[in-house]
Amino acid sequence: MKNKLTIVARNEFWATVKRRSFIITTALFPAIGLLALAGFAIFQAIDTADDEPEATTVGYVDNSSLFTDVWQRSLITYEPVPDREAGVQALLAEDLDGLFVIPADYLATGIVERIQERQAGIPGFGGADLMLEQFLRENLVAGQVPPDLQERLLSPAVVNTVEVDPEGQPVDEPFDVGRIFFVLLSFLVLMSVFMSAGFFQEGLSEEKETRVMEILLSSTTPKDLMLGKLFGLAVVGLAQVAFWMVFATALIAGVQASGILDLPPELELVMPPLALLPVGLLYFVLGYLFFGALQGSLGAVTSSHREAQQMTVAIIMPGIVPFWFLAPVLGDPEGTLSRVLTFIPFTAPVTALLRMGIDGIGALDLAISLGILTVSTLLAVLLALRFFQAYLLMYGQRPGLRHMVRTVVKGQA
Amino acid sequence: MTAAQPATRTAALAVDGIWKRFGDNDAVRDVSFAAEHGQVLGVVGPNGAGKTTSIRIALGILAPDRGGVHVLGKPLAQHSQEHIGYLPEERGLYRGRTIPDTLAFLGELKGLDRSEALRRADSWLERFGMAPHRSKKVGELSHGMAQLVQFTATLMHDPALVVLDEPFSSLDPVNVRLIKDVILDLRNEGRALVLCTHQMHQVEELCDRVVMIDEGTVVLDGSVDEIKRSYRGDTVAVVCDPAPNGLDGVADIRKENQTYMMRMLPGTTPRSILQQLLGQGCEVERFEVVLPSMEDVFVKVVGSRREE
Repeated sequence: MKNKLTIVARNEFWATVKRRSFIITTALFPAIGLLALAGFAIFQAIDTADDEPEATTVGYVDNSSLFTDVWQRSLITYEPVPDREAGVQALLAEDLDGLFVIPADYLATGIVERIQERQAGIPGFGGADLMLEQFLRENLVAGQVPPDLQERLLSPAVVNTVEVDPEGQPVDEPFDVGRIFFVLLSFLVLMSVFMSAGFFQEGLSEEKETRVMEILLSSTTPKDLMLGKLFGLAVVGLAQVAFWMVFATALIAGVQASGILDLPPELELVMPPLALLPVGLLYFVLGYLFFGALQGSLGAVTSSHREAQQMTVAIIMPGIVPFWFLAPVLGDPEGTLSRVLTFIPFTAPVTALLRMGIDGIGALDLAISLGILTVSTLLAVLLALRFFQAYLLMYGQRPGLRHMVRTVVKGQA
Repeated sequence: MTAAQPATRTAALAVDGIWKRFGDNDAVRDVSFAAEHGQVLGVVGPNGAGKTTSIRIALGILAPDRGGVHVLGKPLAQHSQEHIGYLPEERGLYRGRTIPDTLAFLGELKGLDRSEALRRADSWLERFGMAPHRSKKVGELSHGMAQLVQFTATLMHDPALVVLDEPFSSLDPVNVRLIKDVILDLRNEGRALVLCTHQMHQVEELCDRVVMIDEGTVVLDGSVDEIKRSYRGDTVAVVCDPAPNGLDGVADIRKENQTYMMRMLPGTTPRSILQQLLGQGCEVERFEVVLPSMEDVFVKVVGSRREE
């Protein structure tokens, strides 16, 4: 004879994964990912097409007698033009792609005149415009300073950042793009937790509204029913997040292997450090059980899905608070705000995952956070159990607050 | 007969002195009754009398504050539920699921393997004429058809004790007949049935014993015949020739077809009426004390308690 908790859990799992809303939502994120990649590919293709090498010839009229030679870098050539009129004619005839006039007092004023045909849009020559400064600089310092000094004058610094730990020692591993996984994971966890917990409450409301509940309770205990549903939906949530992560990894790996897109190499690190994975998993499970038990309690005390949905906001809102404070948490992961949010059970799962993602949480904070969350989850499950025993057969009415308090304290009403 | 009888522990279901309080209200007070194998026990009573609470306690859905329940001779426990089939009054099924999915799940909860549950479900659906609709979703069924699916869920695990709460509501006459036949078959197979209903003619037709609950207590418990006899009325039905005339102790006589309905005055016995008729030289073809219907008994018992 099978354990009834297992039967309920399995039933809940299959009933949920067959739901249209679950299938659509689960497929939505991969679809968004595919669309984003497709968009990126289209953008890259257009960008690449725009970047087709094309020789550009820019004319300059030098009235300052500082520049005389033809100057060429890459595909851009600056060539002298005898006078302004000749330059304009060449520009209109499209023999030149651009024209600058360097006045006699250029050295004193720094002003250069650009001449162009009247056109719509923002004036300028794109790459040629940028290269003007390099053309001017190189010509101005040529022969004036030693070559190595000339090089530094033209390119003064390449900044290379080194991070140090609190002891002042250089950190071997700089910021790991792969840890962005945890930021993504925290969002997905929140989505999945709320979805699964929502399905729990929705299913419960349906069973109350359709009166299936009485048949269920004549076949199993409220405890097996509640825990079976909770565990069944936890597996749904885990499977959903796992599917999303595997899909994302496979997609990136596939794209990189095929060379369809020129992805940043850091994306190879999308998989998280394995040591942190169990902690992330623990936060997911505890977070789901905590929110799920609260949603289940709500489903037990309310008389309809609609009523339960209206009250769900009170549970969900605290859960998304960490995303309101994303900047301060990521900016100061060891700060007071980050730590407080890590210890409050409603905000702990997301905040802890965010901090883990940027290596901003210590072992002590993790231990305290997990401890509080575990105790809170146990209390939430006990609360749900009490409400299941007392209110599952209460149709069309909601118990008062005093009654609920008495139920929590004394047990079955 | 009128007081709560001590429940026997050899019965299929024995409810023994249960009490249940909700807030400040005693929903059930010292209720006892028993359902024997091979019998149909009717549980009747006005709305809010405590029937549903008593049944829920008997099924283990609610825990009593006092008293106990035995199923098949053993104290009620979780495994007892696998021997009980329950059709609740307020019923429904998962509207978005198919019939096999629904029945397989409910069958598994009653201890069947999924494949066995489906096999048995098919057999019952066939009997109920539901086989052509087997693969439909519950939401696509009519109310009556959905009820037949619920009957299947109630009976598919072959329970020794079957509790049916208002089983005939929303069924058409053909299906009412079908379910009555099923009830009688189950009784003849030796199963114990508990039938909760407000339809007193169904009680008379199907039940061997009746328990009436009012205001949380058992006010009647006995066989249908015993109860009716104990509440027999003050009327005798007589078919005779010539017409009776000038009988002592008779308040009035009215004729219904060929039958004279004579209402006796208090203190008059049927024997004295019969003796007077024979003394008048009447040819008596039929002489019968009119027994009340169960509905009459119900109204009388509940009405008199309301007046007190």
